[in-house]
Amino acid sequence: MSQSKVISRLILLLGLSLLLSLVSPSFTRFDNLVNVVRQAAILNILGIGMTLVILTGGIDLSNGAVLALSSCVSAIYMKSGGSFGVGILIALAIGLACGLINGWMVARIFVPPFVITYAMMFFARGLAYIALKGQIMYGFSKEFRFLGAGHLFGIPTPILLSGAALLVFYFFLKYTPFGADIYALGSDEESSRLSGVKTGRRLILVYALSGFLSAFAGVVYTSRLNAAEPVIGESFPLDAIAAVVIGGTALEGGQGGMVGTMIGALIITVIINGMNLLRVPSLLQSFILGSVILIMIASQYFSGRLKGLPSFLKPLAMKGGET
Amino acid sequence: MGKKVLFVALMLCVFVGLWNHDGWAAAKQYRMVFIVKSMDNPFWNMMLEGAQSAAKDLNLEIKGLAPIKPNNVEEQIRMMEDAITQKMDAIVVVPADSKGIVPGIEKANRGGVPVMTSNTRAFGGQFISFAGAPNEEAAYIVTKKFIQQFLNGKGNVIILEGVPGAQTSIDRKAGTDRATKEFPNIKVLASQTAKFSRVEGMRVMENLLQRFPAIDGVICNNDEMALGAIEAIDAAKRLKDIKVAGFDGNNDAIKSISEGRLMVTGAQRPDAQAYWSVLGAYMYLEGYPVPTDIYVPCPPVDKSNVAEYLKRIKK
Amino acid sequence: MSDVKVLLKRCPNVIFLFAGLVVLFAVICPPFLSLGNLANLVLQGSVLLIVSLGMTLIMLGNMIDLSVGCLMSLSGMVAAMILAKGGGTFSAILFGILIGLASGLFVGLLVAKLHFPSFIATFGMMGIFEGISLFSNEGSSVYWPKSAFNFVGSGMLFQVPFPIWVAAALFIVVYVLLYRTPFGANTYALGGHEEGLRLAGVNVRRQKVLIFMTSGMLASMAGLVLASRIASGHPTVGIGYEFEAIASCVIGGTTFFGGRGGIMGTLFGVLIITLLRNGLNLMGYSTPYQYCAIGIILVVGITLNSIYQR
Repeated sequence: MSQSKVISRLILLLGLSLLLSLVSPSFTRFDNLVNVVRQAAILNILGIGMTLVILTGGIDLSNGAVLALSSCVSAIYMKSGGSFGVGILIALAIGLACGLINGWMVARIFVPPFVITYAMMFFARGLAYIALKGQIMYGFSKEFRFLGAGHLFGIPTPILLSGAALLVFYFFLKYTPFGADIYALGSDEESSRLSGVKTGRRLILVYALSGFLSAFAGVVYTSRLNAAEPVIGESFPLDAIAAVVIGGTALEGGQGGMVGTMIGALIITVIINGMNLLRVPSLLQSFILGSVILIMIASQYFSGRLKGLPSFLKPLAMKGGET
Repeated sequence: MGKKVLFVALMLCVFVGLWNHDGWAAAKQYRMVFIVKSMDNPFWNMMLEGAQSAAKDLNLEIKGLAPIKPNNVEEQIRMMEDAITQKMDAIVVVPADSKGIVPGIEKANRGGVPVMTSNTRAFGGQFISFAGAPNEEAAYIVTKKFIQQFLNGKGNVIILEGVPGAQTSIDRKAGTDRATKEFPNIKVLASQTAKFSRVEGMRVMENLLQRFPAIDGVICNNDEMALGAIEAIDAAKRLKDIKVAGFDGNNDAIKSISEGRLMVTGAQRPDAQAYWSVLGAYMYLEGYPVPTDIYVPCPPVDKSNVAEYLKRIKK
Repeated sequence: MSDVKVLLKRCPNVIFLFAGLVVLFAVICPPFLSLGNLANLVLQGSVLLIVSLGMTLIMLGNMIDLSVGCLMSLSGMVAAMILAKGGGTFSAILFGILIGLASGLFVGLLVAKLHFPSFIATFGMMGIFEGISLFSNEGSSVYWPKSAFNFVGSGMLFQVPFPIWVAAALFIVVYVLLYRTPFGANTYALGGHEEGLRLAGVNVRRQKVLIFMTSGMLASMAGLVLASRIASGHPTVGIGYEFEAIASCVIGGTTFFGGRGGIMGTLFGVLIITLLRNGLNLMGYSTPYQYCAIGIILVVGITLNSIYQR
């Protein structure tokens, strides 16, 4: 991701924070800042997965539902006496499985990503309700709770976990051939295929990772909430997309990156935190969030960044008869 | 040719999958639908369980339905329309919107299907009667007890309200307000909605904890919000200073009271409300007169009487 | 004769999917095929059809609109507030539609003049509409005393529920618009090849704005019918319709690429989605199972669609 883009996002974030600190003194209190970063952690993890998918020109609407499903199933296991370690593995496995299905449908059956992830959203959420039979699983072991509510060296664990995920996937995207392939897929699928990139496998990988990360975020979320219920995560797909887009990753695919997404997640969380501190009535909050997003995009436009149309809206099957 | 085979094969799979449905069994006395507000609160599941136990006792067939979008009155109206088409014997509905449900009820009236309201009132149309909690009164009692017993009549409190626009939210808030006004030394710092949800309760409480360094009590108009608030307070290590009250009496709340985390709640018996509603519909169909309001009491529960409620959960 | 042939050619593969599902449900659950139930099906699909007509135009033009759901709620709120303050049915409907036109104009300008990607522009507008709806009456619904407006959602004309008439009328209007006017031809061309259209001398910017205005108007009309059906203006009732509309279009064969598809397909896409909920309800599936079934059937349907398209 280009340096100047990251810097412009950073400036946006810092400007916003400065503004807030002037208007509301409690913003800069240390525990509030820690709060903000911690609240952004889950959005960040989801944003990593969404960034990967959007970079290939696709989209994943199922991340919330997959999060709910994986956390509900692992909750059932842990509440019936299972160990938290296996519980976490179960959650991650389910996320991976759902992601693999998404990816396979996109890559091999050429179902548009919008549709398959929309369908998966329904399917996974239904399974989550069926699995829990309308109950809420509540009260997990201390070890499990540590992941969402604990501290290590004084830093809340969600921050550490999301930071670790960020590092791993940043490295993955920037320094491995897989990463390069993903960018190539987004910019021009046809030519990347022709130049030998295994587009099918890369696509499957990307969606699988998104599912995996959704489950990972779910583990942190469940442990923080100390409860698993099938209804969580309804707003996560759009929240994650917002974080990615604000962070500067183009919806056409082919440009952008993790760091931008992290800043995007922070910007959103800062805005929400600011609204709460400033006692903005909760009813107005979506209005303000929407307006700020529009203003930010306008500023991006005026610095000549975003043009063109989202590529996930282009069919993946531009072959076979269509010109 | 291959495409056709694939098509047939796929359709067969869907067919087989759909074949395993629980459709309508024959030879039961009456068929009813029981429409609740959403799937996301165990309260509604307990209602449906209560409805099913009434069905078993009275030899009825009851289908439990909930909107996919929580508290969506449009979906509820669609379910009522479906029930009318299927010529159900009665509809029991928990209106997501007391006035918004009226077109559905009027349709049922025109279609000759009797309607029973449960837990939340409807403000229009003809219906058999209403069975539920006296929300305003019960919230008043629980709040008053909370303030007197746990706050000694003074302190800073926060109120967490329910889904905006829902009659239950409005009634409970009214009852809570009535109680707080009786205590001049109680100061209401903030009254915000957490939409009856545990997740929202936690999020809103986190932010309020940042804003107010001195809080003595949190009065939540339902248990889910209370439980979420407790998580937030506990994470901020302020649980010994801040006391929390809820309302509903759901299983997690009862456990929380016995653990000393939640102080008090009002025990709605959703299963009882549902049972009474089904009973009311049944009596009507059998030709008996039914009282206009069937009030199912919600006694306050705290540590002193939580034991009997615990017993009921274990069974 | 040739007109019929053209019509048949325009009938997309989705018809077969629809027919297949009808047969499936009729066999598994005979009450499905009753006149009463089929009428119910069409009634319940009418609101979705109206808004999906607009979405079809937008997608044909290679764009997307995420804000229609919240626009629906907002239009309903506006009409409700006018009725509540004593205004007449006519002014309620007029202002409801004006809101749709105005928002279409605004979004259209954002997309056409400022080159906002339609996804982001409408994503932001979604939040703005939702916020306005919620804030205007503190999150509560708006009710009105009995009025002629109630007829829109609950009335019957010659034994047919009024929403069906509205949907049918609008379908015909959009059909004519799309297949018999230059506006329609330009919409198709816009999706297929925007640059070519511009080079051919068409004012592409104006075309986009007009598309958004039409879609906005349709969305607000859908919102008015919806509000009348639930006898109230509800601030969040429309949320989710945008995804259902997009899904209806995609299932109906209107691809995201633009330039392909049409409202015939969308009609059947709407019917399929409505049919799924209705049929599964009838079969006694509780809501969670309906969720799963919808997901599976969507995938199967799209797979078949894409197999047949290749």
